[in-house]
Amino acid sequence: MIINSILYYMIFVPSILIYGIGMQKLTFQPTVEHLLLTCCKLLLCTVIASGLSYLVTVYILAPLTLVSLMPITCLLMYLIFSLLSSLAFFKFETKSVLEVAFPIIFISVNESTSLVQCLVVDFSMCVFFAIIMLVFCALIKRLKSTHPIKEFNTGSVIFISIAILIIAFYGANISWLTMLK
Amino acid sequence: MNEKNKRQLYIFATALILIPAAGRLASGIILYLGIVFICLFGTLLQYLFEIFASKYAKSIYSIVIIIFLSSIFNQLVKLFSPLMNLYTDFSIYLVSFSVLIIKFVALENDETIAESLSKKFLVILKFTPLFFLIFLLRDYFGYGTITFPGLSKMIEIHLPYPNMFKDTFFYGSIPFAVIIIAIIMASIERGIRLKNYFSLKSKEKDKK
Repeated sequence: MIINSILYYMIFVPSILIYGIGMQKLTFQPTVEHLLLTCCKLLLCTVIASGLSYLVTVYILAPLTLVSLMPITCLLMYLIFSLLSSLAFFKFETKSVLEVAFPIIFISVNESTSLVQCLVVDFSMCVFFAIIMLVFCALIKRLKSTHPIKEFNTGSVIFISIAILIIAFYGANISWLTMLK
Repeated sequence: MNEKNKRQLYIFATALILIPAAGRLASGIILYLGIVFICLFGTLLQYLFEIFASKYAKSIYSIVIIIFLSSIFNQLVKLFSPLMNLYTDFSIYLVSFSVLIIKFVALENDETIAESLSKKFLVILKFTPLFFLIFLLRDYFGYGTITFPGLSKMIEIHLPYPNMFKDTFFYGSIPFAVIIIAIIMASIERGIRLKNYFSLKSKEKDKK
């Protein structure tokens, strides 16, 4: 079951592309050195935060039927751990990854049925994020040297490549080409 | 950042909000109301916090305000129409963490409430046509209808729908929506470029 969820969230279902998480970082022209540090920080903080918020929701919030407080606990756990990690590793300066980390924690707590599955889903989504950002870094670098049509120089090319990647990863899982009738 | 880059960033950031939402215009209307709600009450709450608390933890409590308000909006939608809540339950939380929203709630130094609110609503007015255009196109190509949110049932208006689109489900899916956004962004750039070209030409004619 663990291997099932790893493969599902890492390769077959690109949740990061489908929900558009973290794609705003592409406007700031990421480089490979930034990527390594931000992904390490992302991995550390989100895995611990998602595990703890899963435990809090299952054992404290659910018996009291206060499940609508789940997003707030996710956010608070993430803020606490990012503060602690920036105090511990103050030598390395990283940009803030809040807009990537919070949806990952939220999705992993929302869609898992046990603690181990929550941690595994979180880990595989972070790994997928690192891979996808590497691919986009290469794409942007390549596009700068080829001078395509000027109107596509804005985010249009990024959007079209997102669409192609979604079809490549996800298209075999869903039968889009079946008849509606 | 010069003006061109700023404009591209704004369009890019608004378009990214729209990907996780469901493909109907009704859910788009509810998301739009959510954004306005967060903007309005977010600035008011932040102003209140600045009076009572120090400016020390400004960025942290702005984020907590955003999450708190989006939870409240979610419950309000659930109260009025549980059907609409099924469409927008998940996406309102993902939407509330884009670059724009965090900017919408922030207060700059030495500004009264009225000034900052009017500035922010001008920005919101600027991106509403793009917002609704994308949702309209997604709704039409995917389902052939235009929908509005209703209390117990979505109000649907059926439009003539060519046979070419009826065959597959692909036109109502996320990759096609992303392609629509890309085409619209490219055509906006083209339109602005043409407008600049024609205004330059008329200036040269006036000089002569």
